[in-house]
Amino acid sequence: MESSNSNQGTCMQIEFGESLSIKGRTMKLEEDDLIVQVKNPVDFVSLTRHDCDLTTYLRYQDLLGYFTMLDGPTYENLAKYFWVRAEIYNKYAAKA
Amino acid sequence: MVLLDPSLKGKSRAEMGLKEFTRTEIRSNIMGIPVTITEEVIGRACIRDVEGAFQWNLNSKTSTWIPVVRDTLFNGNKKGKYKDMQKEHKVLQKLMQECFLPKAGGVDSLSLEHKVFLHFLITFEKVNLPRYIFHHMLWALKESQDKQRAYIPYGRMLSEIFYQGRILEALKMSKVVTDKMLGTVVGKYINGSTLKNMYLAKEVIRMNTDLKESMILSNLMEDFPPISKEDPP
Repeated sequence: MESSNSNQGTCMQIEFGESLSIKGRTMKLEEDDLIVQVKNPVDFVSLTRHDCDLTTYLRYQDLLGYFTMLDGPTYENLAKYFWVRAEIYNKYAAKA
Repeated sequence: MVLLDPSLKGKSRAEMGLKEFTRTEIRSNIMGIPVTITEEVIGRACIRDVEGAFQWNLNSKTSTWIPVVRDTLFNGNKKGKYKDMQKEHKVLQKLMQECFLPKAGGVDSLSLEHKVFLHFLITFEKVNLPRYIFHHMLWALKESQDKQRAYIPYGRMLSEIFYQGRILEALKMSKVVTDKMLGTVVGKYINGSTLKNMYLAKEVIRMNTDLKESMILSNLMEDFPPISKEDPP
């Protein structure tokens, strides 16, 4: 692996907004490199009209609220900002 | 610890004199505002309890789930191909790949974990969706960190978590944030046209009541409809 400057991003900010404290990045990827999965909402009425009623399955799973949630906007830039700084944290990590 | 003292092997954390392992978190921030994601946070965004069946890290050769999913998904057919599946199961599979556990490729490349998840959906066994999503998110984050995998799953879910965490409200206060800056986009609907593309419907029957992408409004700038990803102006 090539040696990389992992601090490269720490002083970078998105072009807007004030930063209170900028946390270091946790990956080599830059925001522009990343692709955000924009989840597809589902039109169950249209599916049912095409002889494919899935609501029984999903109501049983208590997931109709989940699909209501999916029916909303995705903020790609926020997701990217979050992702490149995200750390996995657990008690083991806390001890180290 | 176990490496230092082999007698501790197999003991619980409490028995080792350590704090109980409670939970894993993903921690980050958005412009200095801390954001922490746990199973519970995902459960809230899903409007769903963190409970139900969950199977992860299965052995793809020896697992006892293999014959079970073969029966449920593929009518017992040993090869287990897409064509052996029922129509509704094919569409549930599509939803799983698009909405629950995102993955590329077709049925023939589904992991055993994906197949078991689908088995739960089909057989009406409640799945622990928040836990599945969290584990998938952890996996994807490790892949980005260790292998530069340039893919962020659950963009919509993350956005909802930011919204519920009042991040948008905070950004709105600064009055410099627009949908363009946030990168607001909406996904395409899975509907009758999707079925036609999957060769599961001959004709698309459209109605005025069909949901359209332009009806999805940003939580932030309700005056400006967001731009559909597939359909740039």
